[in-house]
Amino acid sequence: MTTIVYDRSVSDHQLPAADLAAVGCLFIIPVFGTVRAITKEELQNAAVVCVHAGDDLDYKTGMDVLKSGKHLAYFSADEHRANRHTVELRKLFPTQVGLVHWIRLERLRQDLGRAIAAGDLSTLYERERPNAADTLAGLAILCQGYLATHAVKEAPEQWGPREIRDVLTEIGWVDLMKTAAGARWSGLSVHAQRTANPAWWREALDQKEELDNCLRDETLGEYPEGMPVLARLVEAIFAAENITPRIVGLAYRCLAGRLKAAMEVKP
Amino acid sequence: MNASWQRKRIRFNHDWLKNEYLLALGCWQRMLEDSVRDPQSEGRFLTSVLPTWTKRREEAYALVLSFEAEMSPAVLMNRLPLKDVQPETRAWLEPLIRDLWRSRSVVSHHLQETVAAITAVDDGYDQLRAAIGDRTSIEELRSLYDEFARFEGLCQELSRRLGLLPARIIVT
Repeated sequence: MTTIVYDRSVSDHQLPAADLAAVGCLFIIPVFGTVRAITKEELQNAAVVCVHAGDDLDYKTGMDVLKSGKHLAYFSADEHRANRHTVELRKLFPTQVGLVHWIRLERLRQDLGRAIAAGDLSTLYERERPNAADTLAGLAILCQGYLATHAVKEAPEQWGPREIRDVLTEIGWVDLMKTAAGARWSGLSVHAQRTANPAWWREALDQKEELDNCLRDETLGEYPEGMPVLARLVEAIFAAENITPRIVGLAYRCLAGRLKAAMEVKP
Repeated sequence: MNASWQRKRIRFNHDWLKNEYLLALGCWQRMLEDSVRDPQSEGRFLTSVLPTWTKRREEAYALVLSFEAEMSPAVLMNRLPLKDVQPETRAWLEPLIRDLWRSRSVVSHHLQETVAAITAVDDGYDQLRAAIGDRTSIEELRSLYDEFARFEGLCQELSRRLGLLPARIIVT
């Protein structure tokens, strides 16, 4: 039985081709910009097919692999993408969940040869969605940063503006500023203009489609229709409009509710 | 990434403390009560089992001391999507997130209590060893039943305290 590595992208991802060929791995990668499909015979002889998680054609290849009853392992440098393909196929093939895996590209590069030689690829597989709430958590952290930069001391012991007063307490800002450690953050408002600019948010979240997909996955489809305030923040991030404290305050509450329900984030 | 703080806790608290050490302490107390006889275990307990605390206590301290570095939400700055933020943002956002987390969570309190629980086990162990002195036979040690029970209680409390620390990264 062979292990097939199927990659339609222009890069070979610096896979150690010679080492892998030596242990019987079959590469199907682009030659002069073209790539062929996996033949029926090749698939029949394969125990595992590792597919680079790219576009819809890769997704379709994954379906073909599963229909033949073989193990499928998506790999990608972008773990969200590999993971997303995996999650979607597990939903589509509920009786074959155990056949669908994903592998970090790093691991494929480093350990695939060793795993094939040992006849056991299970050590390569990530068991489940690794960071199932990382995008929600990332957004929540950006919201915390934004809110802290927009905090204004309105009176002794009172922080505003009014529309984010409660949420400043919830993120820990009000208590923090009562402690000695708070002195360090007294000049944080110098960043307020920058955090109000959508470009600041896009340092981390640069592709709307990618962000929407991740949020949809992490909320099991509740986003965007069921989470309009979060959708509103995402719209603002990708529009040329300033981000307002009100939007962020509401979105943070929504994110906090969802993260708490999911018991926060896996380490 | 972090060969998982949670996994380290499982290895220490669940696998060793609860399922080896505390079980052995309980068994030993039943032997002291004379309700169980196992001459082989009796001989081994004082020389091999009880002293394992001295080999594992550093692991207990390391576990608690590594909690913040591995389980505060600031670690998410090294994962997607936040790992792509600009260095000038990271410079203030990362420590801010850590300070906000410390401010709103009860974890700091739990960590202090857990360190206190480790110290209590450590002190309890020294007191127990002092009480044992050079006694070796189970007959001589029956009078120390309460001391062993007290030490077991301290280990139970440490186990409970470790169990209170969250297994997930608390972001909000």
